[in-house]
Amino acid sequence: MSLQIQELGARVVKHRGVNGVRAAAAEIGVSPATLSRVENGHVPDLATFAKICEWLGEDPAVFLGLEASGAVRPPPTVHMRKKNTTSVDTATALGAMIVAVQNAIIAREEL
Amino acid sequence: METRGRLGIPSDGAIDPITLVESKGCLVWTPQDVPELDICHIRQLTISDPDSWDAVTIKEGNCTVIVINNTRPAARQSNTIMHEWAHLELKHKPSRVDQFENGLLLLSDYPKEFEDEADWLSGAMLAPREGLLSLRRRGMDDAQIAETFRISSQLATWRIRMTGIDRQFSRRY
Repeated sequence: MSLQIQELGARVVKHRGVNGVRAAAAEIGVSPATLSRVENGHVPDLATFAKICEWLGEDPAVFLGLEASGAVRPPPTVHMRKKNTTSVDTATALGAMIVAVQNAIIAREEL
Repeated sequence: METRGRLGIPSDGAIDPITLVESKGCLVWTPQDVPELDICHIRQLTISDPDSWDAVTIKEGNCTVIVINNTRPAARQSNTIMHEWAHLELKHKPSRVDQFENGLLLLSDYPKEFEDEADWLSGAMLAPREGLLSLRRRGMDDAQIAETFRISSQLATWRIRMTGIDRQFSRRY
């Protein structure tokens, strides 16, 4: 079954049931603020995402719906100054920008 | 102070972070400078949700590009560029970016200790203790010090507090 990353928050809310955000966050090992943002549909970093998936007992691939893109090129590495979580649209736009920069650098080097 | 000395900038003078990173061979772009970046993504990052991010540093081979959020105030952009320079200078391991077929980006991690270290070094570069002390001795308040260093007043106040120069100053004078 494939779900969307946007559904992660709803699954967290359902899974914690009557427990508060603080208690669930402590169980997962993330900050309550981060968990609250995830519940509101924001995208966490991969380490937080993995912890939440483990707590949910779900395979991360279920939320991503697919494997990481099978590009031949190694994934880019970055430093990023941003909020700890972002909306799906912003995470997608940042991803597109990083790939566009990577492509531009490679194109320059091939000149 | 060595880096400032190399650039010929005194401890109580403003440093231009763009000149510094360009001297290290980095390129500084805005989202509008990124070739072939779809307009809908530029709009998302600069109009719909400009407050979620400050900068991204991408290293590919020998080339490093810093993309700065140019919707932020100039002083914040300076601080951010210096923060990105600090990550490079401190040789922080960059985060791996996993992008999925639907375009979604997930960072491998976002270590807070790296962010704190970069904040500390960038603050020290922009407003070194020696310079802060010198400007205080000349009777400047926080706002005037911020203006002299071309940094935000919040950063100036933070540096003054963290370096303890007011305590030192009040003991001596």
